[in-house]
Amino acid sequence: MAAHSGIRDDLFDPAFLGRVEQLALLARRMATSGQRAQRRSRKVGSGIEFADHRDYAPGDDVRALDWKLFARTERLSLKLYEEEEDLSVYFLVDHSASMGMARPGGKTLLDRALQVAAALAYIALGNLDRVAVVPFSQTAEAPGRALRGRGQYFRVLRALSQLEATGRTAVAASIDAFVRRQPRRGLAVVLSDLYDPAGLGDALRALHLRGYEPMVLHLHDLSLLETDAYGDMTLLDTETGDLREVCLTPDLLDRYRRAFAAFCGEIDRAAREVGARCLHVDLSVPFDDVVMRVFRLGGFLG
Amino acid sequence: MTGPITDGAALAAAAGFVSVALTLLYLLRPRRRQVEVPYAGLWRRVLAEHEMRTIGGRWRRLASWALFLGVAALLIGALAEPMWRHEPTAAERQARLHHIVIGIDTSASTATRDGPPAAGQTAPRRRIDAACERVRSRLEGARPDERFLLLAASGAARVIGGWGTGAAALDLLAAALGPAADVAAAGLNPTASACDPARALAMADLALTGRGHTSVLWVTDGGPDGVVQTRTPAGHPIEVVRAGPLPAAAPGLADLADLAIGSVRLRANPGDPGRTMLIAHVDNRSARPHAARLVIATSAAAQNGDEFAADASTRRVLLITLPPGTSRHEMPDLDVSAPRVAVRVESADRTLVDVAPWNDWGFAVMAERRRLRVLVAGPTHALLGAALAANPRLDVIEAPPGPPDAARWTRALQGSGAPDVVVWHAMAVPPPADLPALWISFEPPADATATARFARGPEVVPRDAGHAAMRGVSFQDTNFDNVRVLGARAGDVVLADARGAGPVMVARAGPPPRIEWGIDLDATDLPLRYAMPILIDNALGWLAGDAGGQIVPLQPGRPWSIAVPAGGRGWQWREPGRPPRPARLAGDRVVGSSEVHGIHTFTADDGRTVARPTQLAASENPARLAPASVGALPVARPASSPDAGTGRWAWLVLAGLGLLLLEWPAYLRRRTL
Repeated sequence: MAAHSGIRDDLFDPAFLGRVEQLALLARRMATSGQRAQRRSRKVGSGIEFADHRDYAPGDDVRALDWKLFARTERLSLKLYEEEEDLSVYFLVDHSASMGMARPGGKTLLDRALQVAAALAYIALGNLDRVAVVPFSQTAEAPGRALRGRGQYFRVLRALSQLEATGRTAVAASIDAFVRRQPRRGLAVVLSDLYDPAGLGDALRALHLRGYEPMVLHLHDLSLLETDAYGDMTLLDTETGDLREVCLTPDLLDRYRRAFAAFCGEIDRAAREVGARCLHVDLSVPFDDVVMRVFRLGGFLG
Repeated sequence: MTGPITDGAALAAAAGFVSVALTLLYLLRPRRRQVEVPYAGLWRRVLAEHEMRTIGGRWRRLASWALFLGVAALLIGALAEPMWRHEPTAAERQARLHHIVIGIDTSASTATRDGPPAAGQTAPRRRIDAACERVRSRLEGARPDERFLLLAASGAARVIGGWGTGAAALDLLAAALGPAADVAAAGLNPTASACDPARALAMADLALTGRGHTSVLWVTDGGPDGVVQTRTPAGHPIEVVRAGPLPAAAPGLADLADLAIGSVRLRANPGDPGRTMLIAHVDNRSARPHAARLVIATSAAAQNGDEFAADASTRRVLLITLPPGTSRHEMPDLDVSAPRVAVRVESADRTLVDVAPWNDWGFAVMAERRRLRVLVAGPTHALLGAALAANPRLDVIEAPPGPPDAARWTRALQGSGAPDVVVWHAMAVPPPADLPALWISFEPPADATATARFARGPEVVPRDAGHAAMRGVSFQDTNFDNVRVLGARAGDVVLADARGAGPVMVARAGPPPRIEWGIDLDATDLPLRYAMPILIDNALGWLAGDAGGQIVPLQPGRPWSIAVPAGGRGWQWREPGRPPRPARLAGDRVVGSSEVHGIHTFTADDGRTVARPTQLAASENPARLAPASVGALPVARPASSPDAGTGRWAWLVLAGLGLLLLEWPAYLRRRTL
């Protein structure tokens, strides 16, 4: 692949693209070997495969009434069919300031999120799914035009390369803004550190209620928990600029570790409530391993 | 720093400076390390929970500041070496105290100069000085809960002072050693007596009765009478500390030796009370003979060596050679018109170092020869009368002729009471049964005990020359034409007998005492001989109870009783070198005890005087080595109980350091990198 303008060479270099190609081949092999996860459109409508019944409501198409069921139960019910359609994959990429905080080695969570999103997008494009990148921090920006086919991959990369870490994290507000625009339903992959005081539950519920299939990739950096520099220090919140004086002791750090584990637990619980898949990814994990874990998690390879 | 800071202003200044410095350090907070975190919300949650759980977490910095101020206060306070203010009750104090009787041997041998020289001195120290030095070092290391009683122990035991702390005992010790110290009454100077540990330990027991934590520290030169037991009679433990003598084989002390007067005796010349023979026993306590001078001085009033040196009526010097050990030296025909005699031995050998000058003097006095009232009964005999008249101390009273008649004798005695002795010459009846009598009778009296055996022309020889009645008497070339052989009963002493016939002179102890001569004064030339007045003087003196010129010397430190003439009143006792004081009288004897070497006098109001010399105890031998080597005086144990008076400041320092260690982790948490 040749270099294109507007694409970050430090992230999407030829080695990255080569590795993505290998991942795509691996994804195709997994799909044909029966290891792929079953993913169906949740949309019911004019398809031919029966999906479910629901009670009749005034204004519904009477042609869809199931008269046989009415004869047995004397209740009016509509027959629902799964609607076959192209799957839309939305990559909701958090580009708040906390995602751009420099970690040891110069890497940032945003870089890792962009790489993972780019890899998954390549696989989705190869699966003829529609791919859209939805950046968000304090709110979600308007999703770009959904792209289809591998020929659009560089546009995806260009869209990802334009993201800069800024603003606060507001996952719930951003997703709420996203669903209010009512794009096509599909798979919503949230890549974020999820440091939102409002929590994640409302955001996932909003996605679920609007028919999206949420998948959460929680990115974090555990190297912050492995310090041995104790003592008095001032904590600076990257996003808010708040200062907090603290005397860091091993005991306090251990408490923080437990609090972080509880935070992850809250994320898992919120995901389970809506049947979403959730993956906690540390910055130390290479992006291709993350992609492989996403494969194993299921729900992405169609 | 060599001592506590007792200036309150200095302490306050130091405390203020440190407090201000610490406070400034806490006010000038160092810039904290700034750490960027992606999300402070989690930290806020953790910190809120942590600070709620941490007591005083919010105030940690303030607590740390207060803690450092406390540590500084403790350390500064420790500089003043503070003492706890706990005031125990009197019973607690008493129960907690350790009572130690320090008995210091002040016997004569402790004046020996063979101790190690004092600092800056070359002359050997006296043993008593070495002992006091050891006691001083012990007292300087005394604990606050120790109480001491100082006891000077020689022949008698005297309390120098007590019960007091080590410092008080040190003051007592200094006063007792000072120049103004009364030598015999309160001082710690050596006496002339031998040590009597039994009396000292008995006094220590008395002093320790009813007290807790008791012990006796016995500091002695380790003479032969030194304490060897480990407990007093009442069971208090004894710790013995030797203060001498040094081993004779010590370097530089090979010639250490002592010349001493062992004893001095005067033997009156028979028949010449103004002259006497002096017999001195001199000890050479060294390994080789030494040339010496024996200086003999007489005086009418001197009582000790210094006074004899200043006032001696007669002084004679004998050049002698003293072999090792004891030797006897005689000076016959010494003029004792001044009845007090002192003998001093001086080394004529410059190589000899006499370590004990205190025993160089010996003293003696002539026995008092009281006047005797003699009643002479019997036919007048001119030679007998001349012998009696020649004796200056006799008041001769002639009994009226005829048979004994009490009324006539009373008139003869002019109502002055019974005579001291009766001379019963050629009387047909025995002498009165209640009076001492010299019975001279050749004719057998009308007495059932009298014998009627006679011996013609016998050779009469003294049988018991050592008897007082026969001292200085010889019958050589004396002729006896006829003697009557006397009968001797059990208890009688045969003074002389006719060779091959039997006793002719017998002494009967009585009572009353009686000397019987079976001699016809007209049939012998004895009254013409030199022996006659001696025999008369000896016999009358023995019958009157005189000591026969032999005075038993007193021993310093031992109780004594001395017979004094009856009828005397207001007896005054004068110890050598001391003012007179009233003597204790028990019947016809004065009783007392003294530790002063010399001649003690007892004088009545009427001027009658009795003098008695002292003789040092043979046990006070300065050259005799102690059974144990010189020991080191134990020092006080360091304070171990938490309420001990010393080392409190150290505990405070430890407490401060402990608090600092507690604060150290907090400091590490606050440190900034």
